[in-house]
Amino acid sequence: MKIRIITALIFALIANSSNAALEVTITKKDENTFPIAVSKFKLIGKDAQNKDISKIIRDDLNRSGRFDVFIPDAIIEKYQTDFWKTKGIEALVIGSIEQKSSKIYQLSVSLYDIYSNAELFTHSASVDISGFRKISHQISDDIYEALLGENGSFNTLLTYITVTKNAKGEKTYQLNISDSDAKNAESRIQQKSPMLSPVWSPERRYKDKKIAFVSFKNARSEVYIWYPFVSKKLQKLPHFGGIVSSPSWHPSGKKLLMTMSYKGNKDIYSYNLTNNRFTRLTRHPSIDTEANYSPDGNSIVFTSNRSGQTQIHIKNLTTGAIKRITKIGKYNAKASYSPDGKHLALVHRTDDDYRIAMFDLKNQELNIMSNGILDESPHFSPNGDMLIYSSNQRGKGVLSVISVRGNRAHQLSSQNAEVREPNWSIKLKR
Amino acid sequence: MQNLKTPITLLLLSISLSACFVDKNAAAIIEDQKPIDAIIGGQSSFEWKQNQDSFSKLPAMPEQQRQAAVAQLATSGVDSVLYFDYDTAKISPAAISFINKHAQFMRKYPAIRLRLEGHTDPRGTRDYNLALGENRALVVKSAMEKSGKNIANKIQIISYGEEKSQSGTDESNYNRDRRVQFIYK
Repeated sequence: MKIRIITALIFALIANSSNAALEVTITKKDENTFPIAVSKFKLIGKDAQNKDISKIIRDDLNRSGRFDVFIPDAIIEKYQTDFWKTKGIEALVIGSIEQKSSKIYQLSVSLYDIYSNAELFTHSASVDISGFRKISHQISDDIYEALLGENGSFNTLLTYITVTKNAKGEKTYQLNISDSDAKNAESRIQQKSPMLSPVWSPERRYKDKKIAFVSFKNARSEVYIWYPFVSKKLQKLPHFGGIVSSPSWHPSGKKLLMTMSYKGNKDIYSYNLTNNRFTRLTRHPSIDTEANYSPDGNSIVFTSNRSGQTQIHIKNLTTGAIKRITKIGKYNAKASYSPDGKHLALVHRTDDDYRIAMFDLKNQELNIMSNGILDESPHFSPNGDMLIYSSNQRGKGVLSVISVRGNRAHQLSSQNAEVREPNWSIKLKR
Repeated sequence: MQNLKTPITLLLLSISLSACFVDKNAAAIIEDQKPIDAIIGGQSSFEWKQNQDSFSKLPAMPEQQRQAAVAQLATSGVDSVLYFDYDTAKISPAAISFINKHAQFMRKYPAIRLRLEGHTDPRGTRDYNLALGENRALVVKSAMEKSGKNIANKIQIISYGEEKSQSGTDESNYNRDRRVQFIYK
């Protein structure tokens, strides 16, 4: 069977790529931050002089809200215990970058635990100039893991939609990708009609990564798949002619959930990219939408108003049983699983406001996490430690990131654009 | 069933700001988890062709005639927007008499085509609102079909959900967002 393939040209008019970059504002830090010094790196060779990556690492650690990061005045080349103990610093990062050829640099970085007076790791690697940012985020993950015993979420990618208005009030929509620190931002798909719901596929290599998203390019909602790192192609998925929305990837990356309207009836379908086959997963005259797979792929969580209220339901794909999950509040929608499968992030209506809540699947407890009016589109960070969502700050859309314990937060915003519909990739391969 | 993958070729180069899409005719298979499904045409798996949009294939009414007819409808006091309550696609008896006027109009001008655009206010999630907007347009279409035979294939349904909300976060304008727009083509 043939599939509709759209070949496209996103001729990389990296339009306004400078404007695409978001600003990061840390709004809340943990009370017990970990004091760490990250020295400027020693730079050897003429072209190495502007290659210091220590700032990327410092910004990563700061943004997590779990570290207080100090910059020593001078470049530290060698670790000395006694000196650092007197400063109240508990860990030290030092490193060097030496140019080996026009594009290849030798990178070395070490992490020391000052109290136990131990070297926790030294990494040495030959790095191509194009891989500097990625390896910096990987080093941040390694530091995070060595000191806190938990996975970091630095070597990851974001995708989001920005909307700008010109003087005539005409809107322009851009689909953006960036690193987890909002740097390296690119917006290569730009159009006058709305785009929404971009989601990263779960593969861990750049070349395999895809984004599924909804576009109104043809004056109706349709789901497209974009391969941002390998080709210019866009693939448009088939549909029944009614609405198509809510794409969401199977953990294997080979299937995609989406909502389709068949003769007006909105149900959840799974689309198999390998054999171009749809499987219908729900069957009810009410609205079924916003489906997401559980991390093991054995269940889907979705929004349905089959009870007369808009509430979260889970379907066990093995038994076929569908169960209503949320009972608190009149409106609960757009749920997605935490990476360990134990919690859901969702949109919960309080009296008049729409807020982000976390739902504990075991204890059936709902905790409201945000305090906005129209908070939307929550997703967990890849390590499950943070939630990212879109919210409205003084009439303008920004992305908010909060820790699941509520003690840390930062914001991603743009001076000239509304930012919305965030999605955070799983960790990239080292 | 055999699966053929269409070779992917770059068909165009452009320096346009937007992505360009090139379509090919295509079909796909729908498979139901359970066998036999009344809703999906009585088959457990089937193919369907894209672009079976009967609406787009209908000949359009000449532009001038259409504009004159629509202007006349507006002068006679028939609005082109129907408003809805929060999170519902229900319509009142008053709305039905309003819809009937549009159905009469379509009977009077058999060549005219209608696009019903469903919209919601920005409250709630975007995907849910996309579904709700479609339900609003469908309810109107269904009421029009009851009023007049042979107009169903001349009505196209589109949902924009909250994407064309005008109110922002101004609650006093939410009621103007929750609407179905009648756009004659």
